[in-house]
Amino acid sequence: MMARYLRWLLTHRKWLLVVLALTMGLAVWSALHLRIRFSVRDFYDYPGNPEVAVVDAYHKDFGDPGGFVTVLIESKDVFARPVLEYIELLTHALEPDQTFSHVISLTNAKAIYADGDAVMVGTLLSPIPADDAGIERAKRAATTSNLLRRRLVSPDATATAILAEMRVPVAQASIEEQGAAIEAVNRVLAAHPAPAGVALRVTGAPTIEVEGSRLLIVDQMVFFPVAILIMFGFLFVTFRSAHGIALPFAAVLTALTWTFGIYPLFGRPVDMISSAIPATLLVYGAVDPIFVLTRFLEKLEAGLSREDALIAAYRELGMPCFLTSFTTALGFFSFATMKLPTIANFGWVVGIGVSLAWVTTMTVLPLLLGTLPVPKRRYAGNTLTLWVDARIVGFWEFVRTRTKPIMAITLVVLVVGGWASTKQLISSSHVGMLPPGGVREGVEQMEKKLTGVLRTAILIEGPEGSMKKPEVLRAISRLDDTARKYDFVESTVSLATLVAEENQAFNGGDPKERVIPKSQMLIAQYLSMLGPDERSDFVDSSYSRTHIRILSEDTGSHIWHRMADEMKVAIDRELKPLGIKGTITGFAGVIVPVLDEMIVDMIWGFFIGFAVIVGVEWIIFRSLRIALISVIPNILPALACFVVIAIFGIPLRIGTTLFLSVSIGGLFNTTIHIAARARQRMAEGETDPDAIMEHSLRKVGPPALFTAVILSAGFSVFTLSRFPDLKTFGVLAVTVLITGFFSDMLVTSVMMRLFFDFKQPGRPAAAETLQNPPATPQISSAA
Amino acid sequence: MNPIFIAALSLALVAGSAARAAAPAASEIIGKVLDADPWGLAGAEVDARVIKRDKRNSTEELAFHAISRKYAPPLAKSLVRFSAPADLAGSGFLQTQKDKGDDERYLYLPELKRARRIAGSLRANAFMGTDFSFADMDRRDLRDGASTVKGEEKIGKYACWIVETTPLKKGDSEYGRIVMWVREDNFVPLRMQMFDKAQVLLKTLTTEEVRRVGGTWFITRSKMVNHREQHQTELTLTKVQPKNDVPEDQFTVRNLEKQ
Repeated sequence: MMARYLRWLLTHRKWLLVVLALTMGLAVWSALHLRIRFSVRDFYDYPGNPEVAVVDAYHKDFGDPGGFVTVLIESKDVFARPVLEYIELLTHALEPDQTFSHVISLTNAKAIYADGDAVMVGTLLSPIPADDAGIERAKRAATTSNLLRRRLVSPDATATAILAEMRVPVAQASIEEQGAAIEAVNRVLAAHPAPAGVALRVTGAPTIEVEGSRLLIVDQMVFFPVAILIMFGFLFVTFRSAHGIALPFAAVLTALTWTFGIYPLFGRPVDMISSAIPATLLVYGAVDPIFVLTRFLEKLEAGLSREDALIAAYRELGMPCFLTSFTTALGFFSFATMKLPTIANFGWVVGIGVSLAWVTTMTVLPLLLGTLPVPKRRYAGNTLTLWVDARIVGFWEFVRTRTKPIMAITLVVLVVGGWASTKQLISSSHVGMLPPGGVREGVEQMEKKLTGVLRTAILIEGPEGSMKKPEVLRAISRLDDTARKYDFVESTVSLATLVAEENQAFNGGDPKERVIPKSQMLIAQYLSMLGPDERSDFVDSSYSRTHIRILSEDTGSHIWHRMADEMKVAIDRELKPLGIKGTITGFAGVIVPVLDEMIVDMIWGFFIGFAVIVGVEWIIFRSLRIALISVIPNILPALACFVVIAIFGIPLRIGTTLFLSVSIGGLFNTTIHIAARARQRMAEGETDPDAIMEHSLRKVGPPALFTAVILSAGFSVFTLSRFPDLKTFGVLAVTVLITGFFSDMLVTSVMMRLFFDFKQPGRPAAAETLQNPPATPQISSAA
Repeated sequence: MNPIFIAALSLALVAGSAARAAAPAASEIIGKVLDADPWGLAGAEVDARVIKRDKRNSTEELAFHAISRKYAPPLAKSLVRFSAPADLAGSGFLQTQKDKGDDERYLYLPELKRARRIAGSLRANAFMGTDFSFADMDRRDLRDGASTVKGEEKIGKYACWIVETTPLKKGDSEYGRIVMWVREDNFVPLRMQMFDKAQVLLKTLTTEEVRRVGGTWFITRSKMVNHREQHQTELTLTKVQPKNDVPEDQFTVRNLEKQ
């Protein structure tokens, strides 16, 4: 069958090469439509997420306080006249830019406060008071107002911000539009240098997205060439010929091009998760062509003609390649069942890519092997194989006499790893995902001086007019207080805050009067003073919907959950009896649960994939025993990673959890090969378990080691990422692959030795017939 | 060239120049608009109904009675007393325009039982939650701004001058530019467009009905649309009477505090 297929392939090579060229052209054209976008929205915006409609409606009603390009201004005293004049200058310079709908700064922010008998209403510092006393009054008002403190000015008055709100809301803006907005701000700053003693920093949500996207591209520009270089080095060491380098590359790059031709059909941009796809596929896709080429050259070395060598190599490796690709793809496809599109997309694309890599190994590679001239230089990989072989003999000698201690240690690792895996801290962090550097520092400095980027909102809904009721506002005020208890909460603003500050202003500024008045009429009268733009920030025109805006530092989702849980209890306690509904939403309200859910999803994806592969093993070996034996050596590497994560206190985040997908892709292959080899040896008549295992390890060990080295080296490129999570992913992926190799060599062999039924001759199974090809037939050249 | 054609061309040019020459200077037009006071803000007694409409089309109604008198033309004093909605009934607002410095403003909230002086730079603030800002009410941007006539255009059957005003004081005004279509026959603005400082259209005030009462033209129905907030305010003068003899003592804090 394989021989017939290969002959057909070679006979129609010209047509197939034309088809290949056409599909490549089509794929390249399609891949050109790919967008690269580090958009936080991509993580949570998917059709099945009910929270998206809530948060979108919320943002439509009350805006998104994170949608600004922010100029953070630091000085000894930002209320010093030269600093205020500079802020006013920048504000006026930014206002005419059509990119922005509002520019808010200390000089034009609206405030309400008491000044003697008068109630000061309107812009805080526009025009800047001629006398210092006027500035001092405004400073006192700003730094004591819950509406302005932390939001626009730091409590110690050493930092302030100019908030330039984009005309196209950030949530809908493209990276180009956000980049243009940042550029507009930078132009203004360049044209108006800061006075001495004033430090400037451009930050805010658009900078995160723009810089994140830029660094994703930079990452790609590093990952891909470095992964290619690593492959190149490995292929050079193995084959020492242009032929040996070019052919596997041709096969894997074709698969990669096809995959990225298909990618745009999913309608998603390349995001932080999918940015790992090219290097992942390059690494996984290169393994099979390397083995086929090695076997082909071995056969040539053994004296077979080119076509015979090709057929013999494919007869021996066709099914193992299919099987390992199948299980790997299946593992990745299990992620496609996840409800979060970015994870599902990753699962689909890598699963398809791995499948296509198998297709190219079965089509492009034999076409090229059968068409291009055979290399003059002979295959030199055997020396290395012999060296590894000798080490494996010694290794097995050591292991087979210590099976019980090894099992005992395995059990200990299992228990410790199992314990460690239950102690994992799932803690997503939006800021934590950012690469170190200016943008992250800017956000962190903002968090330190003003407010963080984590915006939580409590959407409060009730009957028409209910938000004017004193008891409702007092309940909202108590919710404000509940949130403020948390250290990471930097600012809470609500309708209750506004009404309390108006009451204080109309009562001579007495701090005791910063309370909700008892009279509903008075509340209504205070609220009637607000313009549509001011009021719409706090409450809708029917006074039936309002919100609490909680701005906080991004210290990790586990802390946020604590607050959110307490807020839920407080909402039930304070609002429910009044017939008012409260919902936690806002950017954090939607992104934090989704990010955490995504991590849980990935862990589930790992277990589902794991179970699926064990099931496949059961089917292909027709042995539950083998399937069960494979569980422990393959779960160990993942548990080892959990131990590493626990020891170093790494929280589980999307990027760090991604290593589980590598586990699914990279593990099991060696176990399958060892089991298949053992049964093959038994079928050949060997009865001594030690001899069977030694034979299996010697046959599987070298390619398994090469695979582990190739994959580890390939995944190590992620340690070069700018994104901390991808860096950690690189380390964990290498850990899982290396421990996976040792686990297979040590634990699989010991468990096989202890639990495998060596007395029962191997029944024919798909895996065995392909691992144990019939003697290579002598086939005359078709040419 | 044909002498008849040259003569016709010369006539056309002369006629065009004459037409342009007939257009008064922008300052003159603005002066006449302010003097005519079609809004009834300086020398009139007005009953008005206001409908505020948000982007969800939900509405809120206000009703007020206002009196005003010119005291140093074009400066005026005015007192507005709200009668609806119920929770705002009795609230009042007293304003005395000043040529230099801030206007003097007092707000009376019945629940507080006394008037409070309202100070600060509130020209960009909305007047009692409507889409009219204090700047729209005090007309200082028109008074003090630099105006030019941009041309003529008909709105409906009425010929209008298009006058563009750039507010002078940076930072004091919420507008970067105001464009006004002023009826040539009675100096009633039929349309005003207010642009923000990025020159993006922020608000449009459209005159929907004008009535001549006692020899004065009043805008009795108008609509201010805030394009950014997708919010609008419809103002209807249900009763309007030109009246410049309202006693001076009506415009006092003591009177404001009387319900």
